[in-house]
Amino acid sequence: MFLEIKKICRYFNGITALEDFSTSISSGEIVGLIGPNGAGKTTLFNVITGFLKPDSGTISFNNIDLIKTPPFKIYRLGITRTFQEIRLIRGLKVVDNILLSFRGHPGDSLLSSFAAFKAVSKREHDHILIAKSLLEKAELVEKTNVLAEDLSYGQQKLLSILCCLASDAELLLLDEPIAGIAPEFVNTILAIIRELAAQNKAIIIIEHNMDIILNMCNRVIFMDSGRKICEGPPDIIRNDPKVIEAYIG
Amino acid sequence: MTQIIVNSLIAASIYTLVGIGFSLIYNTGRFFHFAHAATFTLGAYFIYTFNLLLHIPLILSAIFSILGCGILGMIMDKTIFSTLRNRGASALIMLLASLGLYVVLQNSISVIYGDHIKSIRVGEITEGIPILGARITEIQSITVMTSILILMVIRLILKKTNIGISLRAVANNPILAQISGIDSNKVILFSFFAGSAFAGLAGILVSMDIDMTPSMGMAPFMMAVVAVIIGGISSISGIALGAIFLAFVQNLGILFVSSQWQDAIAFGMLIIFLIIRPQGFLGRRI
Amino acid sequence: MEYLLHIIILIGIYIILSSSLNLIAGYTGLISIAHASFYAIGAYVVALMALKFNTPLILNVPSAILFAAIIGFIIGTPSLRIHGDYFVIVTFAFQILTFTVLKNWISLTRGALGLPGIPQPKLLGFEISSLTSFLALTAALCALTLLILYRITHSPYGRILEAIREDEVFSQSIGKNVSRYKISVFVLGAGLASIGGSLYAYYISFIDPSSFTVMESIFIISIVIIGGAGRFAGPILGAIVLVMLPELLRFLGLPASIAANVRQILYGALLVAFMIWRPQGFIGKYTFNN
Repeated sequence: MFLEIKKICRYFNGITALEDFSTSISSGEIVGLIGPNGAGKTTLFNVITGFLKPDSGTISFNNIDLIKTPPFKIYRLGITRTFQEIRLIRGLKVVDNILLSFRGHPGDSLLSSFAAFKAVSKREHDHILIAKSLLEKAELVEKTNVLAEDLSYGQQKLLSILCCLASDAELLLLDEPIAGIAPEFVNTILAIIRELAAQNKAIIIIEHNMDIILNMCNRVIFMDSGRKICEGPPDIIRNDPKVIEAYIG
Repeated sequence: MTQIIVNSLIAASIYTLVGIGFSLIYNTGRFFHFAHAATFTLGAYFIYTFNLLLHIPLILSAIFSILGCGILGMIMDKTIFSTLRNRGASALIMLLASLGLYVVLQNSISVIYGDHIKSIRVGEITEGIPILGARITEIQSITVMTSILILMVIRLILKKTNIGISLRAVANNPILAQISGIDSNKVILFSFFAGSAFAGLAGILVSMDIDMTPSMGMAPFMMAVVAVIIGGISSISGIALGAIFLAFVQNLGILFVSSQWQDAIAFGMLIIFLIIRPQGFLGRRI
Repeated sequence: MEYLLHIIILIGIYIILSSSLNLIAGYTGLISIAHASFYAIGAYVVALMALKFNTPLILNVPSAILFAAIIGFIIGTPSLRIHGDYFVIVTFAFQILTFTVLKNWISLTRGALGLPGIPQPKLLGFEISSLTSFLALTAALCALTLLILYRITHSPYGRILEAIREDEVFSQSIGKNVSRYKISVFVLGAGLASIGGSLYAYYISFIDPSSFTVMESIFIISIVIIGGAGRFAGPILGAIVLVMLPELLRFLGLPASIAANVRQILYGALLVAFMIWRPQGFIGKYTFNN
């Protein structure tokens, strides 16, 4: 797995959201994305997932050009994300949210729900088993048939990460996955992230908690005003004067 | 060719009158007011009642009818739409309620007056006054002049008067308007009054030209909405421009295809504009 | 007894119409007031084929479905790129267009005169002419439609439709080709609605444009909303209530000339009342709030 971002620029009515941003990420890496509010971190996620098209620059994923690919296809290629302001299908059950996240379900097509009924129900059965085991891992089993909107804030964040797991994506973009949630969920979520990296997935994580970033990431990117200010292993970034100025000074 | 231009202007005048009312209500109340079509029809039946049944002089009947439609619009807002607004109902819920209201009003007219054609045309059908080789009847020329007059008056009201400025404020930014102390409920109520009065006026003019039936409001309402979308829902001059454009294309179209396809032309333009230029000629992006 | 059978057949037709619209409006959240157009297409295709070519039911009904689906595709493909309230306007315009075409394309539809004398259908050698046999035909087609809809709404595909209704953008971000789903569901709903039209044409044996007006479209969407949008049983309940309720008016002894109008006033008022007090209808899942 290989994501390569080259010289991405994106402006909103003359305001710079991203400028000349380049980086790359490969399997097994956890990359931390830090920087003040408005630095362009979430914009970068929107650009990678295809919801914003950059004004210039290129992005490729396993040598496929993402700029020309619509968002739903980018997801199918194996890139998934969570949102800062949690997004789920709030009116559907917890288990349905997970089931919706699987990639390549034969029942996704109208024709095969009639023509290949057996194959569809077999796959559906498998997916339900996986969903159950994910919910067990996150200790949310008793919430299986609860509506997503009736979960607590922390449980919703957890659910959105479980959905990413169900997608079996190769690249996960996590936008503040542990901000504002109870400590009991923080550990569960961090454990899941570590496990993912061990399974050779790539992860980009936006987070304000520096301890967690420095502990977990192989590499950290510091952004400000849409630009990459510096990039490197946590130990080096920790001592970078610009980062110190932004976070301590 | 002159006849095409004249016919287009007459149609455009009606589309403009109905369209301005519709967009006033849309821009402040923020929903598609389908019952506007029934208000148009009511204008016609009001003047029929006042003039032919109660024998009130025509001009006075017209004024009563226009005011009647305006007041009816206020009642609609007070009883149904402000209730929905206060409950935080979505635009879609208000649209559906307005649709239900439209059904109620149109069928009430049928129950009271019957489904057959009613006429308030005075005297026999005239050939019309010839202008540059085209013919235009008296009521048609009044229609065109009235809509030009209304267009100028409404522009003046929006620019110069307090209520007009509040109206624009609510239309542009409801939250900011509220912060600056504008009572948006009052502004919306006024929009319902003015918008419905314009629809009633248009209904009166059409009924004096081509008679009335309980379902007469639907087609001009639809065309007005198309004109509004073509011109830009937030711009008064855009609406007039959209109306002229639509009416002209429709009338020109008759030269090539038979007149039953006029609706198809309007439908095609509606889709094209919604996809390619949803903000219309002069409007902001929707 | 005959009267009761007649009412049950009507309910069956409206269950087909409203349940197929429920797939579009209730499950996928695409409020359409063009459903009477597809109802009309079903009725006119069957009537014209039966009258002009004397073809059998077994050929006519599938042709009607196919034709309605094709029109649904042609109309749906551009229209479904338009969102929310504007989509409602587009369907409204299409409904008006359909009505004008039916009324003015006189060489084909005979306009306001309508098409009388639609021959009674035959199926598997049985002549369907009595009320009971029509009831059986209605029940069979109604069951078939409901079976198809049940299968769809309780499948992974149906789950995606609900996801699109709840959050279109998010559905895209989890890999769903939203526009394709919308078009497929619109085409399918249009095709199924035409079954209701076929039945109506055969049953009444006379059709004219006045059965397929905007009012009719609003009536069908009212059934869906009042019964309960986004719930399988919603439109079934809605059709039973809204078709039976006006029949009670008969006992009030209203003159026939205004009965139809009073019926419409009643459901128009119900629609307004439900929007104010209970937008999800009797048992609905969708409250039209996004």
